[in-house]
Amino acid sequence: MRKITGHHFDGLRPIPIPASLELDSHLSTLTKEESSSTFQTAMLTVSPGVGGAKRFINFPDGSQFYTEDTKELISLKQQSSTEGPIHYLEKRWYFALLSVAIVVIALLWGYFKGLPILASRISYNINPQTERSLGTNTLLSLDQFALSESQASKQRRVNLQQKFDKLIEDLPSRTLYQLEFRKSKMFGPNAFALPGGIIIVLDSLLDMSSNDEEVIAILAHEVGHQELHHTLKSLIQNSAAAAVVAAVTSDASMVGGFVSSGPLLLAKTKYSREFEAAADDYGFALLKKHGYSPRAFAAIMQRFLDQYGKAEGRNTFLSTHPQTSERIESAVKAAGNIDQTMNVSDQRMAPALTEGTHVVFLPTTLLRRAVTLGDIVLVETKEHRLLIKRILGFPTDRIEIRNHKLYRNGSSLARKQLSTEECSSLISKTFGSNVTISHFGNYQSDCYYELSGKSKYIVISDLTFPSAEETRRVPANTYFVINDNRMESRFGSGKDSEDPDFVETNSILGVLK
Amino acid sequence: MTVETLNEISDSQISGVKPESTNGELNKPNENDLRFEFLGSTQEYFKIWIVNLSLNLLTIGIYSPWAKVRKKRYFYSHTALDGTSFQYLGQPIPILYGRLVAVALFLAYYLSSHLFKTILPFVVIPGLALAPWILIRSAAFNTRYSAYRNITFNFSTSYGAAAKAVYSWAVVPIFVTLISLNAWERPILIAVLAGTCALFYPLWNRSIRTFLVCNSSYGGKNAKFASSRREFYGVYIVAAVFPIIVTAGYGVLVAIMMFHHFFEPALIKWMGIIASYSGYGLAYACIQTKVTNLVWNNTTLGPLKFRSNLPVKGMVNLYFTNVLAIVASAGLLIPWAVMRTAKFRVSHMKVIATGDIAEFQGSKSESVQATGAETMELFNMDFSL
Repeated sequence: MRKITGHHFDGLRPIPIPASLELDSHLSTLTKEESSSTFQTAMLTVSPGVGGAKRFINFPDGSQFYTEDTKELISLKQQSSTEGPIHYLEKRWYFALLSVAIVVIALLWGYFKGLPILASRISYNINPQTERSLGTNTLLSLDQFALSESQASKQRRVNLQQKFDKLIEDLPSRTLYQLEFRKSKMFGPNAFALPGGIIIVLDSLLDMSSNDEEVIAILAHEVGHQELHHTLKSLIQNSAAAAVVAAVTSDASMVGGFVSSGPLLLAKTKYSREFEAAADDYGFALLKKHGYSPRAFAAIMQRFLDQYGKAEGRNTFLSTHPQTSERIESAVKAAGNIDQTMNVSDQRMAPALTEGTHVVFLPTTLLRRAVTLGDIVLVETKEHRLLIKRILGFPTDRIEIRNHKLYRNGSSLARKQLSTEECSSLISKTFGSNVTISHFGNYQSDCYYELSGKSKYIVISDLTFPSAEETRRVPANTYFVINDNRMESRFGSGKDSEDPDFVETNSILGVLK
Repeated sequence: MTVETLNEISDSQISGVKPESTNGELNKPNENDLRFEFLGSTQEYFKIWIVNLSLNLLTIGIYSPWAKVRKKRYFYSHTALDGTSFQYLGQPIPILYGRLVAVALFLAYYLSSHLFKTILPFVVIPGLALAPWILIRSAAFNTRYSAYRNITFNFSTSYGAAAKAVYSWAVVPIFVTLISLNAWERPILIAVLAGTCALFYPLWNRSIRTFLVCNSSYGGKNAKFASSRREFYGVYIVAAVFPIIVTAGYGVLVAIMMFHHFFEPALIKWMGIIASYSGYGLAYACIQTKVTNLVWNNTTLGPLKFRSNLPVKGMVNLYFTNVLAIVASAGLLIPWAVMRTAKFRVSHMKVIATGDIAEFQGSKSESVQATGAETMELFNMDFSL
């Protein structure tokens, strides 16, 4: 027999009546104002406990008993059965401390690991066509609101399209890509990737670039966003982060607005910066694979920085992109300060290096010796194209072509002639027998050894190389470089800028290992 | 002009507080005053908060209805009027269903607004049609699951009345049109619409408040709300002064810097961010405070009158120190901030009985057991997120 005191509410008037309740295992007796009534204890329910608050006992007739003797109520039937265990946890400091640890670990893990993992799991499992329909819809509404038809010349667009097609030809999402040229009054020089491989290039970006290579460098970055599924990932990560932040700060919003927007902004911008950096790295690798230098990216970003840089603050933690200067730095780093690995993308250096060969260049900054004659080097042109060439002349050297053969300072580099059989087998091995007939049919092929410095190598030439007999002096700070495959050389053709034979000494990025 | 003088002027001239309650704290108890107090403790609430938060994270949010119920219960059972605390009757499971529906609606909105702009009308139009219903359901949930002395509060109205309140002054339709237009294409139209929206917003707010108060009842008595349009406009006009002062101050400061050839774009940008946030923050605090006062001071419920005299300066201080403490403690002081805010609000509130509280009459059918607080009717879902 336990007796508790409190107040009784009949449910008809909001008037408290002092009362007492005697609880027994079977029957309980409520006494108020001299009268008393008896109930089966099993029929009573008690309101959930929270903190040290008083609790309500509900009687079958709809009336209530309000008491602070909460210790006596544990044996009664709970009105909300799930809340009993929670009340138990909430009362204890060691569970509170454990909870602090759980919250800290859960939030940090989710922020750095959980959300990115979740997002990539989901995004890689979404059907590319679904993703594409998101992109198509976005493009439609962008076209409606923000974009208009491109004013760029047809020739420029066709050129870029061709270079872009080459860039993506062996990527997993190659069939999805769709390059769109648009003009916009709203956005500055920019290109963006929509879900599902749609890439929009704005006229202002074309105007700002000084050549196609720079535009391709930006496009490679956008391709990175697509291949790494960034649009979906950021959608998932940001939504999940918003939900978590809302859950954690829901109480704080009661005490005054802004508390929830801060952490969310931090999370969103951190993820965004990570995506941009990852797309940059992907783009750099893709560029190198296709014979462009990431310096093209550095060049256009530098121009962007010069024009718009003043507006960019130092608020690193709140910006959606990494600092432009950092991106330029990492482009330059990708371009040259580390070992350059690349796949040979043409036959210009055949037969020494044939298409598809994997080569590694040691950066000149790490080279323990001077560049010597006969070295195969990686050259970066002014347009940031990467070319593989052989150094055959130093500054002030006199280079002559006589009778289709090269002479350096008066002495011939040519040594032993290959036999006709050896030569034709070499050519068909290099170019494929069909190509030989159709493409080289008009030429009289000629294969011989050259010796330059300590290097001895085979040259493939023809009797029309070059179109005229020629003598040139190598200017200061310049090397004379040329392709082993002289059929593919433009020496003397006047098209120096695309495949130059004279390059500045500082354009040599590395030497073949 | 300082915040204090603004506050004094507005208190006496605009918010309709009667002269006897304008002098700061409501510290002159009257025999008709009912004791109104908040009894929560920071230590106790901290434990509840953190345990529920960790359970919420561990269950990736499925637990959230329980967390919500536990916090509601804490507030209700620690807010006492005349010695009896309020009782929250909501149950977690119906709230869980309500949230699932709300999440689905939110996803539909989010996906359509972020991804499929073309199908947005098919989401917005049903959304607009549903809005009055959602307003009713959520107000009904909040009142029907609140009880005092074994009598529940109630909320009853019709869809038509709710629609009239929601669409009054055409603020919602104009706003929806506004956000679906392209700002770069029709700047003048946008400016006109935004201006109209801002002009009618106080009136719209008033009609929503009137709707919510006048359809709430307790013990057979409907609440009454008598306020003038002038009072509502007054609040917003006073609040608008803060951003104007802050912007002017910012302009003067930048001008002085320019005059002394001290030009640092990053500094000016950050000062601008701080200025706009503080202007917005002050206006927000001012509106929240004054609208709360205005609503309570014009509400009567049967024999009960209410007096709220939350001071703007006090609330600004409270918000500001709360944000500082929360940021500095990486969120651990959230429960402390919540408790002191609740205490502050309740301490500036007075409930006056002008008649016999026995005028309130409960009915057996309205009492706790019979309302079926535990039944999981689909339409008794709580929509507030």
